Amino acid sequence: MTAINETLAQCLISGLGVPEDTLTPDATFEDLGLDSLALLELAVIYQERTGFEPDGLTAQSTLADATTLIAGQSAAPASAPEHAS
Amino acid sequence: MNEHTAAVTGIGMVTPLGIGTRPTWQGLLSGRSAAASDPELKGLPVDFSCQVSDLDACGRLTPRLALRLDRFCQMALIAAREAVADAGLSPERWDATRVAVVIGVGTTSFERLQPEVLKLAADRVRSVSPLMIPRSIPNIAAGEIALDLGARGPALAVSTACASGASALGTALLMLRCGQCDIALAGGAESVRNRISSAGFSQLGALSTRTSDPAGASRPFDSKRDGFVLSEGAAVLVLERPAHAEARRARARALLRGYGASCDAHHPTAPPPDGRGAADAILSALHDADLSAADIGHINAHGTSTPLNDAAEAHALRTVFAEPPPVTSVKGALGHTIGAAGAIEAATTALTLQHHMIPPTANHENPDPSLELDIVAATPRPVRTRAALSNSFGFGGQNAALVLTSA
Repeated sequence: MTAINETLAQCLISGLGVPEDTLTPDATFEDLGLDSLALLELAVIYQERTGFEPDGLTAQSTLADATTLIAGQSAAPASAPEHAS
Repeated sequence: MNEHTAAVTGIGMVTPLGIGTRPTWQGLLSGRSAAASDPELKGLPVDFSCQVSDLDACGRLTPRLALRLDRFCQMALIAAREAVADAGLSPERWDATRVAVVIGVGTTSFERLQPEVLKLAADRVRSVSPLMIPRSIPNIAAGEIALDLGARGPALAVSTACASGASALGTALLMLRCGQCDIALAGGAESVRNRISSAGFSQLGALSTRTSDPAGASRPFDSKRDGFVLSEGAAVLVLERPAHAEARRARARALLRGYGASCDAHHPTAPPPDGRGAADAILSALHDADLSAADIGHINAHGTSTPLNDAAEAHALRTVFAEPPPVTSVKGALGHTIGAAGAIEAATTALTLQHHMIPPTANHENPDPSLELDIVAATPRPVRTRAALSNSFGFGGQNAALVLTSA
């Protein structure tokens, strides 16, 4: 089974107050009590810590899904910063 | 009881004297002030406040709600849950579409605004919290209460600054009378215990600057009063159409019988010295309750402890009442909870009618002879009356008066 992205786990625990012992790879964000609003907040907190903002997380994503998704996106070439033209 | 009144069947309170109606009432009877030095305000010209020190939103609510909600909303939720339990209501069983929520809030919440503004100033737009808007808008308290308890009738905020809590109760009374709902969860919530609020109210000259003696700073109607004290809190009352309360054999603590509102149309923040607008609101509330001034046996005053408010309110009371009945102000003990104040004070007035006891005005030690009022001070005073008045006045010159009677 996939391990959970460590930064993601820390964002959930210290940023959103999700209890550490509920974080399992097959738990969905919905299982953790996160709605669409909380996912927006999570993306911003993650971006604050890493400079990279994950895209496409849904309430039905499991933490394993999210870990895979983040790994794929952060490996891809970075998109142009919004203020560059 | 008739359909013109509303039965107060439940009360919930979160105040600097305690979390819950009982600790708040006991604290008020003790006559002590909750004001103290506030670490959050360190280094500011006014660095003290009245604090709800053991709110523990993570434990009382959930970690998710603690993150999502600002303190005013956390306190509103805790008070609403207590009020509903006190009324013996079960959200699983009520007709959800017939339950309204009306919560008075005086400001937009500034609690967690500063870090977000600093991100914007540093050109870090993408770091601004998406929760900043939903956690700070004034109507979110009503929305979150409705969400938490499953109330699906009308839900709204009422904002008349420091009169908001009383305006919310009055609005809820009107909604019950006109048949928009059978039950209304009505009250107020606010926290102005934050740096930008302290700075702003301080610059207006509204705050007491008694920094060497925070516990003695809020002293309503005292000759040495010099301003109000920043505070925080919430109160929610369950109001029901009398027939609805009777049908489920609910006990009423008191009845809400009259509501009057007015505007000074005089100045943005100062009352007219003769308290004309305040007197208009009181007369309107008496008329609405079908009572005369002589029927009122107690007044729970707005009594902020600012020189101007207390003088204007005293003038208004002497205009309406040939001989004003005993007056108290809970702001000596609780400071000024802004949008929550009118609701906390209406709840206190209901408890006075239920328990036949007027809590003392904390710190009222040197009566101001020019006010000519009978202020209850030092110790609680027993009272036998069936009708009492609760006053609230706000910036904008907006005034609200409520008449409550014994159940």
